[in-house]
Amino acid sequence: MNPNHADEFTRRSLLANIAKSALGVSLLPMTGASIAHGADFVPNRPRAARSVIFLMMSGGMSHLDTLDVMGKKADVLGKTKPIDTSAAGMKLSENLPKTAKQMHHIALLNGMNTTQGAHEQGQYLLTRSYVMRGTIVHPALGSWVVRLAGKRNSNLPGYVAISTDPNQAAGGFMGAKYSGVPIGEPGQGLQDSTRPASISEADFEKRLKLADTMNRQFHAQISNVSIREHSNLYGDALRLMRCDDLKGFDIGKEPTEMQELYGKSRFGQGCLLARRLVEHGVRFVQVTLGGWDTHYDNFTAVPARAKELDDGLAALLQDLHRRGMLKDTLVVLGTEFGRTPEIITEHQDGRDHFPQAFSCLMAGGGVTGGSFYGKKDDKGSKVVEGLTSPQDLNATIAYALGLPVDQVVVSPSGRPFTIADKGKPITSLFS
Amino acid sequence: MIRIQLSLRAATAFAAAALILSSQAQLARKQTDFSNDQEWIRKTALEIDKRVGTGFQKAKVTPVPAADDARWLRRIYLDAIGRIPSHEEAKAFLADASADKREKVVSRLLDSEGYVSHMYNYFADLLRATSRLGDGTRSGVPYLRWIRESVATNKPWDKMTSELLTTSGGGWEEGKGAVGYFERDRGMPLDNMANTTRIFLGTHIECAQCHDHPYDKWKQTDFYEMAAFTHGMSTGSNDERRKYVNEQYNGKNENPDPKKREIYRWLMENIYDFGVAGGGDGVIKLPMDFKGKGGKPDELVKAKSLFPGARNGSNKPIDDAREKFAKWVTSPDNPRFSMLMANRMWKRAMGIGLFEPVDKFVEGTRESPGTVVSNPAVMEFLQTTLTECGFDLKAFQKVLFSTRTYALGTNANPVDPRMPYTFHGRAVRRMSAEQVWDSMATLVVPDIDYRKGSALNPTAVVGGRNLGKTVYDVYKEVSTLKPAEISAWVDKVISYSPASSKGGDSMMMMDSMMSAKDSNAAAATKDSAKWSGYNAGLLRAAELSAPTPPDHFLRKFGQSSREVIEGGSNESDVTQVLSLINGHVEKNIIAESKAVVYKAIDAAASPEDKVKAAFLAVLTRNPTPAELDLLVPEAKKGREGIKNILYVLLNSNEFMFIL
Repeated sequence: MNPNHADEFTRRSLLANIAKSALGVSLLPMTGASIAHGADFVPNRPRAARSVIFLMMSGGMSHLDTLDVMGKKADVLGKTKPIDTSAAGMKLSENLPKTAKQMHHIALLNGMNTTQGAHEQGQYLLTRSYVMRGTIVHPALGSWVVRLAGKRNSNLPGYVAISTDPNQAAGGFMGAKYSGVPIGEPGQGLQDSTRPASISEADFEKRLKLADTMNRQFHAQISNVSIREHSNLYGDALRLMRCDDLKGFDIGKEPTEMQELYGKSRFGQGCLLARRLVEHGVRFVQVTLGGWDTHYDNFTAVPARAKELDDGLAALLQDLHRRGMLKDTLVVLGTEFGRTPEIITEHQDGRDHFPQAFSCLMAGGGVTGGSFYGKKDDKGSKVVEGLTSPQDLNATIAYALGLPVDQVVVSPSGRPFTIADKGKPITSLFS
Repeated sequence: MIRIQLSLRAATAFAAAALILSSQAQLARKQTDFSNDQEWIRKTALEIDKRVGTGFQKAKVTPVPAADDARWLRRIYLDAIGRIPSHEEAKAFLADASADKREKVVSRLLDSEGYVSHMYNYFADLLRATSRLGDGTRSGVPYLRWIRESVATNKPWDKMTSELLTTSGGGWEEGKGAVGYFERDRGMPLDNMANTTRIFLGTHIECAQCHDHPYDKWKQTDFYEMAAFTHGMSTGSNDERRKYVNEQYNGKNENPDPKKREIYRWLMENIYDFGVAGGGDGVIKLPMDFKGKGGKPDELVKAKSLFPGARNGSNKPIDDAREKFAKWVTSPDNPRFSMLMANRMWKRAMGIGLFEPVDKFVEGTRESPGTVVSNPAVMEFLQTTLTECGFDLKAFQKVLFSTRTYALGTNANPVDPRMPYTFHGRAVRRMSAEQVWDSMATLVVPDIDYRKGSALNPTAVVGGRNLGKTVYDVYKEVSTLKPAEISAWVDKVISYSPASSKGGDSMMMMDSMMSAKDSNAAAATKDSAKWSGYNAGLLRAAELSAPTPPDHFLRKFGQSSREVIEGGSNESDVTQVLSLINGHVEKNIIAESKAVVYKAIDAAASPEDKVKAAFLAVLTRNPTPAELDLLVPEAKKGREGIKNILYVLLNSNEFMFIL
């Protein structure tokens, strides 16, 4: 197998694009619509979800203080108290009072179990379906979804990662064009997406045309895939700048009440931005909320984090539902692992990492609300029913989108991979 | 008695003479000062080239012809000091006709402040050092200061390692900043050990933290035997002042005044809550959920190194297990230590490691070939060399940069970094985030390497009030106080307002007079005129708080968040291009009318020479005739046209890549 095969392919499409821009057609063609085949895509599942909003709880969210309080012993819950929810018979932690009122949209995944007990490895497995290896970088889930389902709106990025470490949203062997477009501060939207006032439209065009000419001469000397990928991104950037859908990035266009509904935290505003982006046709949005690594003082730290989560998540579900978007938008809450049922008193009542058992949730996208899948024992320390791996979670996301879980994508080094490795979708979650 | 009568001048001369004497004595003790031994550097570089050359013959490849002066110069500036050469620097080098001009540049660059910044970034990424710790409340500055100082004094790598693994005490104390290595992983000693194993032993054992390794030979017991070395130490230091301050702000008998509590909290988070106590027990109990072979839950295991060399024989906790461990890690009995760093430095210079990834080396077995070293003869010699020079990383890099291998031309074909490489031509690499940022700043700010920020010496702002001094100044004030005196100090801060310092007797006033005596401060004041009027944020990346916020240019271009070892990325994405076409380049570089690049261009008379000046400043080369045809018409239009030219060059793909 020629390891440069992929490189050669890119080279050919590049030449085609150079021809186009040399003919003066426009400065924009570059990669063209090569990854925007959303219109042709026929899902495996009827009435499938079209977009995903993935809320990543980074640091290892304590399941016993948030999602999994049902039937748990008081000594493992510590100071955390269960409360009733909008779904009959189901309970959540008192730390999530607003989410409790949206429980009729939510399916809890209480049988989560992972093999990874360190943050980096745990997050990697959760969002990439493979164990971290030294020889390859596996693509992020968002990259997979865009690769398999295509973009919904060819002008906008397919995958946007809000308040997320750029490494976590990397396209890996699929390359930079499948990486999540990072947004640091949700309120600032997509930085630098408009032409600076100091440059006239004519000068702007001229500058880019001159740079394009220089670059073509340079490419003729050096054949390198990362240089060409970098170059192709200019086409994507210009297309993005010139499209009407750019306002999807601007939460300033939302009324104040809407901004307040989601909570003024970075995470809350990130959820609001996620909703706007999905409305404008972004396929996959990740919003990260960090600070769940509560080795110390768990019962002060968790409520503080949970408040941000609760405001954002509850508002998101309520808002998506009101707009009629919830049925085709899958909302997922994930975390790399849970935390120990034992409360560590010498660490001011902390909880340590606990990969054996934890909880995630899904809502919308055809998921039956007010339900749960999987069960732990009364200490929250062991999955006794419906064991679910990170790969199963990702297979379920793929299933919700109607994507083929068995479709193989071969890396440039010739190794075969699938979106959820050997994960099995939990089909019973869907009505 | 006599000394008292000496005049100040005589005393200074006396001190200077003593200093010279002692440094001569030091030189005599140290067998060779490798980084200044040009003969040794030449000889060692030649041997490397011979071995690389043998590799060409074996692989039947022809080396790419040597890079010309301009390309070599740009490359070495980026690799050695992390930025492109300024117009002046490039012009001087290209005009220099002397035979040893490259040798002189290598020496000058590695002895410069730019080298310190560039290596500091590297170590801070490797050692995951950040300005703030935990959830962002605690200061991590002492650790960063220790790294900076270690690089500035060219501390040998084995000494650095030993300090990282064994230091105890409070982080702000003189020379104790290395405690940050454990402090940054507070509450996560197991993760810390997994990282230690990766950084110093080139082994990924993190999987064995929870179960026997599925693909490697490591068992969960191996992991715990390693973890036993550092088990039992605690972060935060046992200082009585720390206990007092902690009690005042959140203890059972906390101070009733919320304003005072705020100040105590500040003291805790910025001064006292940063340290390490305990020398390592050397024993640890297996966890309750232990599921590996060869052990039972709750069983006591004794410290034992992954590869033979260090162990604790006692079942009782000892207090020097960290010492034992560090001694073994850095000893010749552990050849991986020199191998890993030699390969890391090789990658820094040559773009690709002799094996990859640089922190993973797997021994071959009957079933699997293990890690492939692309040229074992070179690897072996590099290891010997690094040991020979006493882990002097500056000397070692001078050797690498002096090789003909380093000076080869660019390999114009794609190079797959995952495949063993023969190094017959330089593989193309995108600049790191820091290199892009620093190179752009070079075009604007004069003497950029010397423009200092406050990241390593932050100002003390307590409860929203600027105390007019640095956190380090505060540390010096409070470090020797008794608890009752700390309380008096807090009272003074409460009554302090900037206006009251005009009274003259306030302690704040005295301290600012003290710091004016500081020679660094004086020099900074003198130089600051040079930089007045330039954007205050345009400093080298190493001078900024780290990591920068997620939406900063540096983060967009892949600066590491420093959560994981060497977590930086040089992949391109759309937001980077947006800041190149609409953001930073236009707003902070081109729009800066005082930018030094304009001086160089304005000094050129003809439009053609102006284009040439712009090319030299931005791309470190002369334009081709075709490029002149393209851009001279712009140069004829005056400043607006020049702006167009700079924008074009900064948006050229060539600018972003190291050739």
